[in-house]
Amino acid sequence: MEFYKLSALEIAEGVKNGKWTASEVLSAHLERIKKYDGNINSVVTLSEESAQREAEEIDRMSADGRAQRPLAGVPFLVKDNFCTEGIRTTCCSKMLSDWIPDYDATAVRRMKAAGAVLMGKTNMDEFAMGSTTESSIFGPTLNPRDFDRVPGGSSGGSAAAVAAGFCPIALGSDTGGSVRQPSAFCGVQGMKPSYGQISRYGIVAYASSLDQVGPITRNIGDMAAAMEVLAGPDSNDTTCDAYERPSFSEASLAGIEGKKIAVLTGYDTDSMDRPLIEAIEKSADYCRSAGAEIIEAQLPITMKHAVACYYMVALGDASSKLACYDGMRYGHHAEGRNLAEMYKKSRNQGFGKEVRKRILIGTCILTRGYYENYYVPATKVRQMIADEYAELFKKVDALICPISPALPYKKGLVEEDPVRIYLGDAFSSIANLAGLPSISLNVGFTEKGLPANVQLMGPRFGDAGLLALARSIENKAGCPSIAEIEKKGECRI
Amino acid sequence: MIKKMEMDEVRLREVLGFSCIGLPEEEYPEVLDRVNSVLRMCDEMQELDSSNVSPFEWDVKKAPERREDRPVVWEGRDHFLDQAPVRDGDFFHVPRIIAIDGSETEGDE
Repeated sequence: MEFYKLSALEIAEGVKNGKWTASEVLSAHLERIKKYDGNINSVVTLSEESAQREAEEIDRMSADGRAQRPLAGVPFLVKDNFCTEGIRTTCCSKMLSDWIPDYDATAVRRMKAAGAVLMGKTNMDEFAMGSTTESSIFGPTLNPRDFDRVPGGSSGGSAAAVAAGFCPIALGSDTGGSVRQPSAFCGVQGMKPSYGQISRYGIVAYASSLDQVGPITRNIGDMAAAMEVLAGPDSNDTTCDAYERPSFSEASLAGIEGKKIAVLTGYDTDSMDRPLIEAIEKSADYCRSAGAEIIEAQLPITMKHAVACYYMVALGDASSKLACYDGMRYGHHAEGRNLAEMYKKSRNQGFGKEVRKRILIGTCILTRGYYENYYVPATKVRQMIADEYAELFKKVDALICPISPALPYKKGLVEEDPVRIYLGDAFSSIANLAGLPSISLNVGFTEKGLPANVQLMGPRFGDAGLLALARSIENKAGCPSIAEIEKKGECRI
Repeated sequence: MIKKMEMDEVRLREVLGFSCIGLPEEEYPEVLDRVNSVLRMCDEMQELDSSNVSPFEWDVKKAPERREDRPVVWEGRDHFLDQAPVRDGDFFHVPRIIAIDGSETEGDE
C-alpha cells in the first residue's frame, strides 16, 4: 500500500474503519522521509519515538472503537517556529538552537487532539524572515518540483514536504505570504486564514499583528478538515476571535453558482511570468463555468503602497518582538565584560545576517523622526488598504489575483537581486495587512513542470466561502500530483 | 508636515546601540544603502493624504472571554528547572552579568 499517496481524509477513514493502522501509515511516511529528504532538506527534526507513541495510542483507541477523531492517524509536520513539547524549536536560528519547549502551541495541541500524529519539524528561513528558505542554520531546502530552484519561504520546508509526499498536511505561519508563496512554488494548496481565526499561542512571533497559522495540503478537502480542527477561540490568545465558526468541510461543498467574483486588473502584467497570468484567466473561466459572474476590479492604493506599508509594519513589529533575545532572558548566550557587551555579542552570534539587518531597519523606523514620518503613516495607509478591500467586498464575494509575480526562483537569487525578492511580496502581503483569508491554489503546471498557482481572497472571516470557491476551481483544475522525487534517486538521512 | 529622511553614519551608530547589535565599520555602507533604499521605497506612501485616517486597529467580531483573575495551582516547577542550563537546587544558576564595585566581570558563573 502506497500510503504517501493518500489524502489526510482517506488515511483517517481507513484508520477509523480498521482498514489499516496509524502505525503502518506512520512507518511508511517516516521511511519515505528517511529515503529521500537528503535531497530536499525539508525536515530539520524527526521525532520518531514520540510519533510512534502517538500512533500506537490511536491504534489502541481504534481497537476499542474510540478513534472516531477527524484526523485519526494522519501524520503531519510543523514549521520549526511552532512550540512542540519535548521537541526542539529552533526557528532555524543559532539563537534558539538548543531550546526545547515545555508545551505545544495551540495549533499543534488541536491537531493532536483530532488524532493527527506529529512526525517532526520543518525547515524555514531564520525567524521566518525570507522567502526562499535559504537562510536556515540547517542549510537550504530545495524545491521537490525542480532541485535547481528554491521552495519559496519562509515555510518552504512545510510546502516542500507536502509536495514530496512526506505528509498530507503540514502547518506553516504566514506574516506576508510565508504559507502561500511556498505553496505556490512547490505546487500545493496553502491557506492563510483571517487574522483571529486560529490561535497564535505558542508560535514564535515575527510580527504579531500580521502573523497567522495556516495549513498546507494537496487538496481543498484536507484543507477544510484541517481548518475545522485548527480554528477556534483560545483563552491564551486574546486576538483569536470567539465568534461561532461554521463547519468548514460542509461549507466548502457549497458551490459558487450566482456568486460574483472579481479579477484584479491595473497592475504591471508585463513584468510577470506569463504562465501565472494564464493561470488567472483559466481560474476565471472555471468560475464562469461553475455559474459565477466575473467582473474586473482595481485597487489603486493597495497596488501602489502595500509593499512599503508591509515592510514598515513588519520590521517595526519585528524589532520589538525580537528584543527579548538578548542572551539573558532568551536565546544564545555569549560571555561579555559587561551587560552591554554580553547583549551585543549574544545577538551578533545568535542572529544571522538577514535577521540583524531587518532588526536594524525596524529599530530605525521606530526612532524619533522616522517614527512620525514613516511608521505612523504606514499604520494609516494600512487602514486605507483595509478600507479599500472592505468596499470591494461589499460588491463581490471574492477576488482572484496573483500570489507571486514569478515562477519559483533559481537558487541564489536572494544574493543577486534582493529587491526583486522584496517586490515578490507585493500580492501576498495584502491579506496580512488587511487580515483577510487567502488561499494559494494550484491550477496546473507549465510545460517544464513548474507549478502555476493563483491567489483567492475573501472578506474577513469569509474563510468558509473562500474554501467553497477554491474547491469549485479545484474540481475543474484537478488536485496537484506528488512531486516525482524518486527520479533523483535515494539520499537517506 | 511629513519629511523624506536619509540615514547617515551618526544615526546608524545610535540605532546599533538601541538594537544591541554590533556591525563592523566596513559593513556600514552596505547597511546604510539597504536602509535608505527601504526608506525611498516608502517615500511614495507619504504622498497619500491620510490626515483624516486613524492608525489601523483590529475589529473584533466577538471578544474572547477573559480568564478569571484568580490563582491557579501549578505543579510544573521541576519540569522547568530540569531545563535549566545549570541547576542549583531549586534555582536556575545564571551567568553573572552585573559588575561588582565598578570592575568588569569576566562572564564567570
